Amino acid sequence: MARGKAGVDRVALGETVSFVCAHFKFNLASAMEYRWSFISQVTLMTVNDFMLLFFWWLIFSRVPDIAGWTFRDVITMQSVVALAFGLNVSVFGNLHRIPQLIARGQLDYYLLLPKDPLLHMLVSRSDISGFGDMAFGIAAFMVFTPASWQRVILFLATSLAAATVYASFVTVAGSLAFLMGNAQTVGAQLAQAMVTFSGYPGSLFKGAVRALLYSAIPVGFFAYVPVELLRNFSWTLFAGLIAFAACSAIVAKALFRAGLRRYESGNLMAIRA
Amino acid sequence: MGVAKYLSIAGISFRSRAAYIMDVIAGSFFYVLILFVFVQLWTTLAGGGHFAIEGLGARELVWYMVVTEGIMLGRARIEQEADEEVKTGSIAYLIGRPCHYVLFKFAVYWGDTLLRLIINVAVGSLVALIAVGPPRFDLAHMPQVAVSAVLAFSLSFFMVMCISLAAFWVEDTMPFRWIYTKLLFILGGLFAPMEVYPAAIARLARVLPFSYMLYAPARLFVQYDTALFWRIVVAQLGWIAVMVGLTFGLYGLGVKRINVNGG
Repeated sequence: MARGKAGVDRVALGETVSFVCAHFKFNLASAMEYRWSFISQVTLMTVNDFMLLFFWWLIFSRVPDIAGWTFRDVITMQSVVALAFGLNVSVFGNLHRIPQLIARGQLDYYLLLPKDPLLHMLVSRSDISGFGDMAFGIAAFMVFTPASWQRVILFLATSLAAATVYASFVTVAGSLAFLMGNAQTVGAQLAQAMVTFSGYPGSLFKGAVRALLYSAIPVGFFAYVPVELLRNFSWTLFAGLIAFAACSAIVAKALFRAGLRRYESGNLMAIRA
Repeated sequence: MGVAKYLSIAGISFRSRAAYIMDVIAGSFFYVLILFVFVQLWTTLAGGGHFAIEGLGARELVWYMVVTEGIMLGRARIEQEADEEVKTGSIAYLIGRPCHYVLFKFAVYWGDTLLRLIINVAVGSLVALIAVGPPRFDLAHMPQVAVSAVLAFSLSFFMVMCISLAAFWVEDTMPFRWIYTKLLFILGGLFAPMEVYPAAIARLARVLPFSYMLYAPARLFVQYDTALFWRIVVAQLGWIAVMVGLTFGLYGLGVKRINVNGG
């Protein structure tokens, strides 16, 4: 019986992966139809991200570290965050539009189909600039930090966990629309807080703010823990990060599902061609 | 009459933005957030004792940031709309009105910017006052700083308008806007004054327009210098003249490419 359930789970997982891949391929092909837009968005986003490092180069040319964080730590953080963020917006392109879709009653389409509505909604769109973020994340990590195959595997694993933490947090923030009606501003500001704090050394924040960044706005698990792991690996911390990511995904899915009970359909006619 | 109608447009833009005042106040959340982060950064660096810039301590650097971010986040976001108008062809409806498209946008921009600026000055000053105390600033220099800020906002409008008008020729101008924003970060001195920069980069920044949109008014605010004020104003007026010429030139060329099909 147990083996049978495991087998069913494996099939379901395989189906989900191929479902996400099929949507991603379709979105990618459609974006590539506008060749100049695609190339310019990916290339210039990569350049854009590299330009952000200039400020840190300026600061670290004057000081050896900022409360224990070196230039290499900051680059590691920017790499993980860029890869995690890029992965989210390119695969889950509707992630930042959840409050808008809920408020406008545009979930109807996903509710009528047999796939999980949250996953289906997230993968229905792709933001191509995310490829530029991912390219920057990988290139900056390989070029500016000591790269060995163990570190690369750890980098990819922590980035994937960070991506899960970010997607879960933004989903929860977006799901506030089920309660508030219009939560676009709140949702955007919470996501903005996550991204803003993830651009600066974690050692800058102390006391209550630090506690906040490891709980209500989990920037710590999105940006700072991956840096700590890539600096001094520990199985305990790694297990903690994976557990936090898994729990946050479960909570996000459960809250979205609970919120759906309060969802009110709209009378807006839309055609998906 | 010519100027009056544009003042009237600016007034309408101000009032329509003021109708959603809570939205504008909520929009200053990011401003508060970034100021908070930089208060932590500058106070940590100043506390370490390794980071010293002549005449600029943590207090000056935070107030510098209040001005640069206040301008950066305070200016109205007209680019998305202008870009859409050009791409979708809806610019054709605006061309038919008894006012010039670029000047119409300039009036809308100032009406919207003025309200954001008032909110940002209040919010930013409050955060900085609580975090680092009052600035060492002589109120007698306020008119000069205000003149430089007005010129900075105007220059910013024409720079952004040029990028938006490029939509007459390219599919998507958004990537150009990303790069423009990052150039403002780096060569505009958004996060740190030119005094922190290596000499060669600071020299390059002084001959380009970016530093005259952010660094110039902020530097006058935290360390006023009359000779510097006149140099800045001349450079700002010069760059505005160049960008006005370029904007009207691009508009004149681009508008000939409009094809309107159907209604």
